[in-house]
Amino acid sequence: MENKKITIGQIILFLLLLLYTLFCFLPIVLVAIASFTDGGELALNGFSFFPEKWSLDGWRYVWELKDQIINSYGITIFITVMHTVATLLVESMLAFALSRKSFKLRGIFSIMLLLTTLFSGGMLSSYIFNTSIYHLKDTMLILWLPAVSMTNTIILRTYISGTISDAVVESAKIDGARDFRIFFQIVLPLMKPSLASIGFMTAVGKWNNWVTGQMYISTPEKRPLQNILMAIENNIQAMMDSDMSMEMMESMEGAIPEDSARMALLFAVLGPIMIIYPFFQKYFVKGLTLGSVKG
Amino acid sequence: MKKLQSEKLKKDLKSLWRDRELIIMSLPAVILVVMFKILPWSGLQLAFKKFSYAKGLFGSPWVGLNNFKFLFLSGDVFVRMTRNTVAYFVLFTAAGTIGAVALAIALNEMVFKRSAKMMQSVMIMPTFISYVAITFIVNALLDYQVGMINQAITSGGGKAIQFYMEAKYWPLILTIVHIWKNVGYSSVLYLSVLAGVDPEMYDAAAIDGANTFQKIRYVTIPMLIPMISIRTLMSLGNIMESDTGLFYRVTKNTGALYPTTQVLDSYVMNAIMNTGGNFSTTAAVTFYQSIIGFALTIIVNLIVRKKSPEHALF
Repeated sequence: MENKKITIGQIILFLLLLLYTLFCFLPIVLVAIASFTDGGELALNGFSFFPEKWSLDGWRYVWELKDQIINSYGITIFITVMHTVATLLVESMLAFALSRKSFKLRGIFSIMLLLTTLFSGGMLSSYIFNTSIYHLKDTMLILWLPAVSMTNTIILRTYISGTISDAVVESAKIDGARDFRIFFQIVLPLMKPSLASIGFMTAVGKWNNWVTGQMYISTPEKRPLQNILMAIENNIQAMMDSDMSMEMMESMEGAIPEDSARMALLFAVLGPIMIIYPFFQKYFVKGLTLGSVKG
Repeated sequence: MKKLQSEKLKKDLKSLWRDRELIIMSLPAVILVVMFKILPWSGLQLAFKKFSYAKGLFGSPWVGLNNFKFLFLSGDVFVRMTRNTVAYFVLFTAAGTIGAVALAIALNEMVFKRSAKMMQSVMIMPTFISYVAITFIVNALLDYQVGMINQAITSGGGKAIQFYMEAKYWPLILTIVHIWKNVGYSSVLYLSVLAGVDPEMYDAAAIDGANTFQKIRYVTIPMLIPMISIRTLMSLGNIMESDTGLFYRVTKNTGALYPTTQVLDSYVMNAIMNTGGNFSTTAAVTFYQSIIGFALTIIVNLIVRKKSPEHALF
């Protein structure tokens, strides 16, 4: 395999893959370019990779809305961190308990988890429960509430039984350590790789989630980033009613969001993930392969 | 006999007391599952009730099969939604799997390993872009006036297409978006299988005179078949659930596109957002979704357990 020659076939293969890579990459480039395109030019000639006139107006518009965007950034960062940490903690504690063969309730808890993946009450029941029984409508809690996924719990459990031998746990017990201490001082530190991969996917899911905000949040100040984006896309007015002053509106001449402004905003939202993700790539590749083998 | 039982009980209680810290550690997860997964099962009774917020879930009056009657009387909407849900599932599974496998084989065959790695990183990127953002991008391409595609059509002398009014284009559009977002990512899994293939198998094939294509046909693909069939089978259980973001958001929930884009999930979503508490037919749809999903998961698991027990759920 190593000393394959560079043949015509290899070059064609390279070109084909390059083509697919461009197919994946160019839409993102288009967003970047459009955000720097002059609004008038965009309205006249449409989106283009090679605009004739460049401008910072799009970004200036993002700047005008900076208070709201910073607020939403704060909310999104807060809920992403809280949700990810809480979810990982809850899932890994359960996974630890399930990994202990002597634990009597192991079977019952496993069956319970399994049943929830087999049968679901559906989106509508959850909505009615969350709003009319738990009264979580328009609260921050509904945005970051941890979720227990069976797949992730099983991955973590498999990881624990695969990396930490029973002998280690037993000898710690003989030394007088209780389960809490064993978990937090021995098991949790050893789980880092699996936590990183599951945590990254959980965090991305939360960062990109728009459904919860759309269904449950009505106060504009509590809107996460994705929902601000949606408000902009649907109707700029919905966004303005919160904290844009009259003179600001006037200074923006009717304030109809031009496409370049939308794209600048979009880029401001996409940016962080695009920057962070290469650093996590090795972890989620590992996580993906972990998930494919069940223990 | 009695003494034996009480002794067993005592032993059980003792072991529970011994594991009290494990129980405490499982509690948060158990409470969350009970509150947000198990109790909402009872919401399925709404399919047989006329829901009103004032009376609540349990106080609302029973209406028998009325909700289902409305659903079936709604004409072809119900059939259409089911057809779309299943058809997109088949389309996405076929296109997604073929794409991911082809990509994995191509990346695996490439001699320029460094570029393969870099290309792969770029191909995975779309997975992390939210559907809200994708909606913007799709709009930039398809918009009637400023969309890139229409610009190209009109500058070539053609007539611009109103993509957001014409349902017939959307199966293709949504499939392309699905591929763009998912194929790079799922190829990672197949690549990891290929990384585990013994190189000697290729050497042996080479000695037998196999060319590159024959090696792919007779060595690489057979290696991937187990993973392909397991992944496809497992996903069958979710056939009734679609990618809501794709069908609800990317289409901008446009009524004109419903004939080819409305799926069961986006119907429910739309009802929650817009009907203000009149959930009659929606509840019936949810019920139908849950039951079919449940039945399929059970059947799929039976098949998986026969074919490859280590992948079965139970």
